[in-house]
Amino acid sequence: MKTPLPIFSVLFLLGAACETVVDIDIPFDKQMLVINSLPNPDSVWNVQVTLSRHVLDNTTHLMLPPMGVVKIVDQETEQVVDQLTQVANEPKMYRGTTKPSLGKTYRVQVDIPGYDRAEAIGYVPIVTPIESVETEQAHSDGSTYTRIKITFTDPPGESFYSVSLASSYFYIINMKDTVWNEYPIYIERDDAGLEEQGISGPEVLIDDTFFDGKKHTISVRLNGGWGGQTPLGPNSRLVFSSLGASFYKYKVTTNLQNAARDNPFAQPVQVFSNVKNGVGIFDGLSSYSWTPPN
Amino acid sequence: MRYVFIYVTLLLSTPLLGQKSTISGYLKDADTGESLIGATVLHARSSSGTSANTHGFYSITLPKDSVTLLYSYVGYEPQLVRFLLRKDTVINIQLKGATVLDEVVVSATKADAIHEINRMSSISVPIDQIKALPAFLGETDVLKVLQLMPGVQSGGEGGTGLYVRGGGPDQNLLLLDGVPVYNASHLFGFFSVFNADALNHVELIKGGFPARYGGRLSSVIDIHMKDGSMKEWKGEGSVGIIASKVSVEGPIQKDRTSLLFSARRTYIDLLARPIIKLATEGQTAGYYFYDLNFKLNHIINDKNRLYLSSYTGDDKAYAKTKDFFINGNERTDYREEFGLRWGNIITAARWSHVFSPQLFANFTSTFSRYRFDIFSQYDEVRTSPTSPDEKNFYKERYVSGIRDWAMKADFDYLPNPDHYIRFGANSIVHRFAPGVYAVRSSEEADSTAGAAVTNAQEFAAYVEDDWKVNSVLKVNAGVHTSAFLVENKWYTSVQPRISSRLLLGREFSLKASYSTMTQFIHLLTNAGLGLPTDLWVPSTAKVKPQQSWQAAIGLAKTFKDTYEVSLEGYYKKMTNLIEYKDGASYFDIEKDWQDKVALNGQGWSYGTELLLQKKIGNVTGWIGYTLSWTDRQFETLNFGNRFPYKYDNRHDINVAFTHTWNERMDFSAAWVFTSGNAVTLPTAVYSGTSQLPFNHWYTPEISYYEARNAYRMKNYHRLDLSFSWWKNKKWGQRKWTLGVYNAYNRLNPFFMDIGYDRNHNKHFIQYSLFPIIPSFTYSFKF
Repeated sequence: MKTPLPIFSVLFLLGAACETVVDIDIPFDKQMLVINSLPNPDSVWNVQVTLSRHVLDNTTHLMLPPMGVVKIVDQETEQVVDQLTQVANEPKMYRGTTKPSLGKTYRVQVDIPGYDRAEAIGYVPIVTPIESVETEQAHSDGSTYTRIKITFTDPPGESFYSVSLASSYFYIINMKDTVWNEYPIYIERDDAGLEEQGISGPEVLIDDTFFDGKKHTISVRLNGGWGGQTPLGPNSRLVFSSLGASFYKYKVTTNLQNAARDNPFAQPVQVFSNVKNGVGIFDGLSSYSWTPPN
Repeated sequence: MRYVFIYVTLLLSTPLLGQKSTISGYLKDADTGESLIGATVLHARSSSGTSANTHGFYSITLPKDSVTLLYSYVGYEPQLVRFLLRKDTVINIQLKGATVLDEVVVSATKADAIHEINRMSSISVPIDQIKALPAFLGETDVLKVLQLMPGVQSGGEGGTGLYVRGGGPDQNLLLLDGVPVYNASHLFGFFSVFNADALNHVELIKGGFPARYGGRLSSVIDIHMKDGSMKEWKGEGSVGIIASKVSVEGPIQKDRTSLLFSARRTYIDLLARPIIKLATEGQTAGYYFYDLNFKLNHIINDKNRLYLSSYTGDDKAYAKTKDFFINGNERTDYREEFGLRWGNIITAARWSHVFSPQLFANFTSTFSRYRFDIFSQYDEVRTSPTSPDEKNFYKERYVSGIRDWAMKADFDYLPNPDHYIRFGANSIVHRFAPGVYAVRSSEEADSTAGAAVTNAQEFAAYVEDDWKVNSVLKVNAGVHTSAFLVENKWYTSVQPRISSRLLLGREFSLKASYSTMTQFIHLLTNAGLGLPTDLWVPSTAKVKPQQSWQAAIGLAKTFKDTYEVSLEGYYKKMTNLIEYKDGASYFDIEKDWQDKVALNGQGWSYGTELLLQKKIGNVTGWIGYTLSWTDRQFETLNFGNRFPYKYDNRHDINVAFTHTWNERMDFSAAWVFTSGNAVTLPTAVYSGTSQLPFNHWYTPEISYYEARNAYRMKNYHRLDLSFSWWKNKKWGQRKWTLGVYNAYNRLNPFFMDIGYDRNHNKHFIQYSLFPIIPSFTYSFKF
C-alpha cells in the first residue's frame, strides 16, 4: 500500500505552511489628535482630547497629549462662546461652563503644542418630540415580539434620528446609598421594506429620506416580549434623539466596523470622522425621553 | 444608410459578378477526425486565404482557374492541393500530426501568424502545450495556464480566478461548447472544472472583442470539447495523488457517429475517511469533486451534422454523525449531517448546416445551471416500550444559483476571400435564485427567507465582417446589440466593435481595436476569496447593467517564423459596477442582496502587455510582462474617493517553457511574479465616543483605515517544474510525470491579519497556503 505515503507527505507539507510575521511599511508617524465631543443642550461643553496609537502598539491605555487650549466658536458669528479647561482628575476631558444652544452650528478648536490646530464643525439639532407611542404584540416566524410604534413630525430638511431603549435598575452601597443605573435594551427596525442603517443593536438609526417634513410613524421591534405583557414598564425609558449628520455617519460606520471586525468575509470599514488635522467626531444630538405612563 | 445598402448589395452579388466558384469543406485531424479550429487555407497565387471555424468548416471563393491551395495548422504537416476549379467544389482535408514542430511545418502556417491576423488581445493555447506545463498536484488545468498570459491575474495563491485587464471574476465569458459556465471552480477555486483530456481548443480574448461575443465586460474564454474520434476507439487517463481521470472516445459508426466520454474524481475523502473516523470517534467527514463530460457527434451528410454535449460536475464537503443515547426508558437514535454542495450542469444540442458552400450555420439550444447549497439536517427516532415511536427532524438549506435556457442561431457567410461575415441572434431565459433560506421541521411550519427568485430574458443579435481591405489593411468591424427584460424594465444596448491590422513591413504590423461591452448580470463576491458562496444576480430596476469601453493599440512582429512578439497598450473604462458595501456580509440572510451592495461604481484599467512566444522547435513557450493600473470608485465606499482595485498588480511576469529532450522525455517550467495585491489595513487605533444617549457604558476602540486598499501584500512569485518520460507499450503509451509546485518553497501571501509573535508583540501576520509540493502522475493512452 504505497499510495498514501505521498498523500501524507503533501498533508504534512500543507500543515507546515502557515504563518509568517511580515513587516508592512506602515508609517510610524506622529500620533493623531483624537477629538470626541457630542454637544447637547442638557450638558455643558465637554471635549475629550486623546492621542491615537500605532496599530501595532502593544499598550492599551489612553494616550494623552500635552495640555492645550480648547475653544468653542459660534460658526456664524465667529465669536468664542466658551473656553474649556482641563478637568483635574480626568485629564483627557476639557469642560466648559456654558451649554450649547439648539439649532446652532459650532466649531471646536483644539490647539496642542507640537500639533497643527485640530478643528471640526458640528450642529446641535433641534429636539423632535415623540407625539405618541403605541405597543402591540406581533408574530413572525413562529415567535412573538413587541412592536413599538413611535409617531413624530419630521422637520423640513435633512434629519437623522436614533431610537434607543433603556431600563433602569438600582443597587445599594454600604447598606444605605441607592445608586440608579441604566442598561440598554436591544431593539431593531421593524418597518417592512426599509433599509436598516448600519446594523441592529442597542439602537435604531434612521434618516428621513422617505418622510422629509412629514408626520411619520416608525416601528421598532423588541424581541422576546421583554418585560412580559407590558414591555415598556415603569423603569424603562425610550430615548428619541435627533443627530447631526456627521454624528449619524459616525454611528453607522462605527457599528459596521464593530460588526465586521472578526468577520473574514466582510470588507473592513472606514469610520467617518469630521475632524480636520485629527480624527474623531464633533457633532450634536438632542434627545427626547419618553417614559411609559404608570 | 445608402452606403450600407450599396455595401451589402455588392457583397451579396459578388459571386454573381464573374467567373468564380467556391471551395468548401472540413479540416480535420487525420487520426481522430477532430476539427482543426483555426486551421488556415492559403491560395498560393493571390496570397489570400481563410481559416476553419470552430467546427472545422472553411470556405474560399476564387476565380475559375488552376488553383493551388495550402492547408496548414500548427503542429500538423501541411497539405498542398492543386486542381482546376470549374465549379463549386467540396474538399475535406485531413492533416497528419507532426511529431516535432520543425520549420517546414510552421512556415506553412504563415497565414495564421500573429502579424497577419487582424484580431488583437487574443491568445490560443494548444491543448498539448497546456498538458505539458507543470500542474498543481499533477492536475492539468486550462485556467491556470491562461493565468500565465500577460494581462491575466490569478487573484491569489492556487486559485483558478481570472482577473483580465483589471476586470472582476464575473466579467469573463467562460464558454464550454458555446454554453456559459457560471462557476468554473472545484475545491474552493484551486482547480477548474475543465478536464483537459476532453478539450480540443482554448482561446482567450482580452480585448478587441468580435461582435459575435457579448454579455461580459473583460474577456471571453472560448473552450471547445473534442468531437470524439471518428476513426477508432481510443482512450487516455491518469492516476494522480488527489484525483484520477479517464477519457474514452471512438466511432459508434465509423466516419459517421462518434462518442466522447470523460470522467474525473478526487479521492481525498475515501483515503482520509478511516483517519477522520478514528480522530473524531465515529464522525464521517470529507470532501470530493467529480466531473463528467459527454459528447455525441453525428454526421448526417456533407451538409448536416448534429452534436450533443454535456458537462456535469459537483463539489461536496460534508460531515455526518450517527449515534444513539438512552434516557430512562427512552432510546433516541439520531443522525446529523452538515455540508456544502455546488456544481454546474451544462448541455448543448447543436445542428450544423451548410446552406451553400459560402453559408454555414449553427442552430444551438443550451441549458446551464449553477447551484450552491448549504444544508444541515437532523433526524431522530425515539423509541420506548411504553409509548409509540416518535420521529422528529429539522432541515435547513441555503440555496443560491442561476439557470439559463438559451436558443441561438449563428451564420458564417464567406462571399469571397476578402470578406468573412458572421451574423446571428440568441435569446436566453435566466432564472436567478440569489440566496434563499428554507427551514423544515417536524415541529414548526415550513418557512423561507431571503431573496426571491427573479426571472429575466436576454436577447442579442450581431453582425461582423472580417474584411481584407487591401494587401496591407484588414478590418474586423461589427455591432452587437442586446436587450434585457427584468421586473418589467427593459435595458437595451448597442455595442460597436472594430479592430484592424495594418502591415508595416515584412512580418510586422500595427493593430488597433475599440470595443464596447454590456453585462446584464453581476457576481456578488466576498472580498475576492473565490468561494462558491458568490452570488450571481441580475440587473434590476435598481441595479443597472455594467458597461465598458476598451481601446487598444499594439505592434506584432514575427521573427524568422520562429518567434512572435506582441506589444499592446490598452485603456478600459467600466461603469455601473457593484460591490458589497463596507461591512456587508454574505451570511446576513435577512437582507435582500440589493440592500447590501454599493451601486453605480466606476472602474479604470490601463496598461501595457508584452508577449514573446516561441511556437516551434524543441523548446517552446513564452515570456509575458504586464505593467498595469486598475482603480475603482463608488460614491458610498472609501468616502467617495477613487481607490486601487484589490488586484491592482503593478508588475506581472510569466515565463513558461517546455523542452522536449527526445521522443521519450520532456521538461517544463513556469515562473510567475506578481506585485502584491492591494489590501486594506489599519494604521492606528483610537478611542471612540459613547454610542448611546444614556449611561456611557461602552466606548469603542476604532481602527483607523487611511484609505481602502492603501497597502500592498508581499510580492507573489513561484517556480513550478515538471519532468515527464514515457514509453510505448503494446497496448499504447504510458507516461510518468514528476512535478514540483513552488519549487523554492516561497511562502506567498494568502491573507493578512494582526496577531502576536512569540514575544507577544503585535505584528502583521501573513498567512500562506502552499509550500513546496511534489506530485507525481501516471498517465496512459491506448
